[in-house]
Amino acid sequence: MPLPATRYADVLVLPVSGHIDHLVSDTFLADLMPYAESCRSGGDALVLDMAGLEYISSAGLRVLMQFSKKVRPAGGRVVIASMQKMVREVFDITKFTALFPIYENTPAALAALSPAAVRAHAAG
Amino acid sequence: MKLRFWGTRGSLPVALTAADVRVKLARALVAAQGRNFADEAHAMAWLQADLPFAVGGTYGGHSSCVQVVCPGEEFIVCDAGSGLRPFGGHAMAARAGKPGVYHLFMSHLHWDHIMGFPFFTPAYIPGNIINIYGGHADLEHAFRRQQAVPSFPVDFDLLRADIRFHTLEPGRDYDIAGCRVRCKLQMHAGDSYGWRFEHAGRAAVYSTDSEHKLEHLDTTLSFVEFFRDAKVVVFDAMYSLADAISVKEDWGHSSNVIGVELAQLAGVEHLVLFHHEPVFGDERLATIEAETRRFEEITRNERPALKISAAWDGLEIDV
Ligand SMILES: [Zn+2]
Ligand SMILES: [Zn+2]
Repeated sequence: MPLPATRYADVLVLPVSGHIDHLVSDTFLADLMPYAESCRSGGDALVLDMAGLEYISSAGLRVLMQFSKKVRPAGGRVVIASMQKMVREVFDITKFTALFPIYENTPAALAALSPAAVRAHAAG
Repeated sequence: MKLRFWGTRGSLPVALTAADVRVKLARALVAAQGRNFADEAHAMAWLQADLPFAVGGTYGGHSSCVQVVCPGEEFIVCDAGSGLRPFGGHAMAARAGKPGVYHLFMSHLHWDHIMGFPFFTPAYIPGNIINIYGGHADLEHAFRRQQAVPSFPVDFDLLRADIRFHTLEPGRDYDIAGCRVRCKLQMHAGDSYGWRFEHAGRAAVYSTDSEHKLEHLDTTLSFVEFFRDAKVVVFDAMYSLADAISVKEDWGHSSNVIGVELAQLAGVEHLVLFHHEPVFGDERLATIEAETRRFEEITRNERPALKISAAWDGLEIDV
């Protein structure tokens, strides 16, 4: 099931939610990868909003790594927002914290990525 | 059954330097301020009970060597890293001059896993029997080559023990020295094998130099089966997860976090982090051990707690 993205000007916000473990990581990869195409230099920036993410295993983190490997060389920008405390701790322990810019919430991420996106978000 | 760790370091043995020892001593002296110790035994008891292990001890420096202590007279050892040298001294003292039978199970033939053999004194003594088991077909070649000119002064042919090589089949059960033994192919440059030992309804698994790429669910689940209900799993936790699946992808090693996840899925009781990165000092290894315990805690859910230890040279664990 593709993730329901919300567009704010040149930024797409993707909610990542639920329980992502070794059993569903392939589906997560398939859901996420279509967005890698538009996330490149001059294209859309991406915010992965993790407010609804309760658990992510190493297999799920590997998907994020693959996604990052795909978009980074193309000049794409991908950031993470709204992590729950437990997921944040998993990122710290696995050293994934160093791999993505992390923001308190989506508005903070938008502010860092694009003034146009902030305006679009404010306009509702 | 019991596991006794003689070598726990990955890739290359390491030694504490004078500077490392001084830092530990200074910290211990500061921590001991205001205390009086009647003698060394009292001081020893205090430092074992009250000082953090990274201050009062060290994770140690020998490369891979783990003894599986089973009832019976014969010795079982996993890998012949530099820890095999002190193990050899211990075993000879235990035999008190009588010949012994040794069973060596090899994860693979990389240098850090065979380098102890030329210093394994029982190999030089007639009457001893040394069985060397592995999944690799070229076991004997690797052992002979490291003792050939110009790498070592004593050729393999001069070893006086009766040394026999056995290539075993993965997935098959073997009864050796009172244990049921099985090996499993692992991902590592040139292949490696994990070993599972069962005795009296209890199991211990030795799984080092094994990369888990998390690409295929079937592969992950095959390791869960191999670890299933083991009392203890010794696990290659050399890298952080981020390193293991990015910059150090295909380097053939795994991470603490994957160890916890596999152990949780398999119902393991005790996970032992092993094959420590030689660049890491004691403080860093203690931090990894603490973080791994925390990771287990926050991902535990309804499961019983998984015990976690970072292995150190001298550690003994009941199975
Ligand atoms: Zn190794
Ligand atoms: Zn190796």
